[in-house]
Amino acid sequence: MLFNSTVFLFAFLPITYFVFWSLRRKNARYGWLTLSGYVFYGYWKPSYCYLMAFATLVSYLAGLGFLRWSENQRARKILLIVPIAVELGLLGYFKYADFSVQTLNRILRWQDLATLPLPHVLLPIGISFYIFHTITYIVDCYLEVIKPTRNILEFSCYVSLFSQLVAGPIVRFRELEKDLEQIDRSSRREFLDRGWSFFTIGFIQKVVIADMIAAIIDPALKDVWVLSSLSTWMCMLGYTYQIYFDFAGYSNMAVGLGYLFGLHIPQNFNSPYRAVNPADFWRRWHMSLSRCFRDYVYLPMVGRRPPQARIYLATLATMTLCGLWHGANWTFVFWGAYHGLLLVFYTRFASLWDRCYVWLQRAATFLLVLMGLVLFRAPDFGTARAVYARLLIPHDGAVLIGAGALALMLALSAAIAHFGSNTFEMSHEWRPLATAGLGLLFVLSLLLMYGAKSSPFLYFQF
Amino acid sequence: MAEDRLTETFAQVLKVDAASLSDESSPDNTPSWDSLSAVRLVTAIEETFNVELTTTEILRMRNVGMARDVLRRKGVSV
Repeated sequence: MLFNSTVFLFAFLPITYFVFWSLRRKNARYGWLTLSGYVFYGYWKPSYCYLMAFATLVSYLAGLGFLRWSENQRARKILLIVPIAVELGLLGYFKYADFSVQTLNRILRWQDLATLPLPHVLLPIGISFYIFHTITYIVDCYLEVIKPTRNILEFSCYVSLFSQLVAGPIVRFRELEKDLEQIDRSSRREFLDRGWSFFTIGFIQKVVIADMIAAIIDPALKDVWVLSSLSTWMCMLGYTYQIYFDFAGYSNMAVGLGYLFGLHIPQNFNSPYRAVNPADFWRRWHMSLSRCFRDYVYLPMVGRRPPQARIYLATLATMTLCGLWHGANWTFVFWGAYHGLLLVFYTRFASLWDRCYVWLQRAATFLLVLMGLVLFRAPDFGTARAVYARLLIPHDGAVLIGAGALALMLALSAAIAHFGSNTFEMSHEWRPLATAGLGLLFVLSLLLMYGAKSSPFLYFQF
Repeated sequence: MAEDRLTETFAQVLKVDAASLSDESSPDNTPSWDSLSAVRLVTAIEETFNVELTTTEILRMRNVGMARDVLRRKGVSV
């Protein structure tokens, strides 16, 4: 189910909301949110619910095990390794089986050997996100950062929470634990304004900005070989803003939905295009994912008192894995490695970089991010090469259809992304004029939504 | 005081005012607490308190309060 769909806006959300607030008891609310999470998820393909239930059960039982054998170090190690291996096995099979066989087949073909048949495994939506939720829970239980919950309804409510289920933010149990514990005491009215405001702004960012840009650039980028350099630059600028408003829009909607149910979902985007260097960019972009990779991949890899070379290698390896996490394609792996190199480069030359004008640092960071997004957007390296060629060497070619409208959208997007306040910097208080303006924009978004096919969020594919 | 020494250590590595730090200070609310400074923090804590931290203990230090807890478990008075 998409947030920007009729069934979600006019059936699922109102029913879930009013039933939730009519229930009083903690377990009833956990149970209702769990049920609605499974309905939300199963709407795509009901059989995927079994997978999520299995992942939930494995990590819940691991948590119980940590409670049972709290002093037995050997048992604790097993409880860490086995459930994580199971969860990663699920992710590996459903997300990377085809990719692995394709890669192996390339090597076999190169050696003139017979290739293997592709398993053709369908990727369950959002698997990368909820598997991350369950893995971070297991690790945090092991580290004693959290106390495992005995309440399966509370835990399944956390994993299947529809607001963050399919495209994040990756909310760790610790970040939601307090709100979940007090779910029967939360007040419906306390964060109502904030919730609707976040949700509406996210909806507008997605439908008005991201989808309108996509409507112009998607057809053009399908045939990049005929585009002129100017058109390619406009398309890639468009994509750079589209992906931001699409994902930040989704995250804002998730935060807003959280507030509507008395839950505080943490910030996921902090004006990333205002970043002054690559490290700053990753502190502001998809923050929940960056934190996970820092805490669960980078820090264990880097260890204590590492030599500088190990820090660089750990940075490169972490970002390459981050790329692979985004998608089962070598273009994503190279995108991650590219960002790893940027971080290493920045760490090595920070003293020089930081001496430049701030506006120059911002512009350079934005440009480097845009260049990386070519790999992120391209379905294969051939397409990426064609885009880079047009961005870096002047090419004549077709003029973009809708170039005028795209220029307007780019100007609007740039003004908001580079100079506007982000949703966490806004007040979200009830003010008649601002609320009326937001309401009008919401109606406009609904009209746009009905005028076009509901488009999925870009991060759903991960 | 030992307690001030821990906060001071964090303040020095993170290049922030010690008064702005509390036990709840973490990478989520302290912008300069990034992956690189997390590595520097480990070295600084080990040197200041003359302890050796295991990987599990390093990973457990998600905020100043948790770092304090890790040191207390190692018998350091903080």
